[in-house]
Amino acid sequence: MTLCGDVPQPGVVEVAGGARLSDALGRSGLDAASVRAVLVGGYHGAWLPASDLATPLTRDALRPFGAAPGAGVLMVLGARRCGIRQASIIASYLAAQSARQCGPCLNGLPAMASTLARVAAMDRSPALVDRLRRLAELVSGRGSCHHPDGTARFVFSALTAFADDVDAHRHGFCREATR
Amino acid sequence: MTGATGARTTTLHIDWTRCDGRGLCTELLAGILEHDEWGYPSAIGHGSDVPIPAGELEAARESVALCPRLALGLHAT
Repeated sequence: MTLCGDVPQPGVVEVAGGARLSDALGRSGLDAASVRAVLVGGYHGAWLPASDLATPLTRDALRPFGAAPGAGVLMVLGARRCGIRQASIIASYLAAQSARQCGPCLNGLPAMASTLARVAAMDRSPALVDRLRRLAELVSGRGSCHHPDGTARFVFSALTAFADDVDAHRHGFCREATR
Repeated sequence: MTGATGARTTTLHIDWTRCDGRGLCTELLAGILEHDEWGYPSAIGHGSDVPIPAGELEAARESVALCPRLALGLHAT
């Protein structure tokens, strides 16, 4: 699997089929206490919180999280990092990667990214999260490829995994800024 | 195949790479398709393949024939 993000040594590690997420992370010498969440399956995947590191990296075990082993990419978010800031950076990247062939993706992904960027920037408008969810539903299944579906899945997952960050931002705090 | 008979359902397929959100189909199939905030057709709960009830078949055929971007197709499944 490919380990990246807040890990001591990013790179490719060999992991037995069905190994637990924590086993895979341990291969890079990572201390589980330093983990906030792990993005499983790449940018089109889903976040698993630190409390679920014992989850086996199988389709069945990852399904409840909306995740799948996918291309075998694990991105670690460190314990002191803000998940919403990180998710906003990734959503902007994904919006920029649209092939720009289908209207819902061409328009919807930048709209999703900019709305998430406002949440990340601690904009307190109460309707932002609802709009984000509505946009993610709107782009799902409406494209000739699954880029919008994967991006919507990523955004939904970030809103669930980092609901506390969303709440903190709404009150003018960010865990990264208050270190 | 465009004619649906008996238990077969007909679906309207939207080719998103062709669709430009001109809005003709959302007018002809107003009960089935809405348009999103950018003008592209949207059917709640369905993505690119929208089931068409028998009563709307004629309007669906018309949408396919008149779409200025040739972005629609009818399929019997």
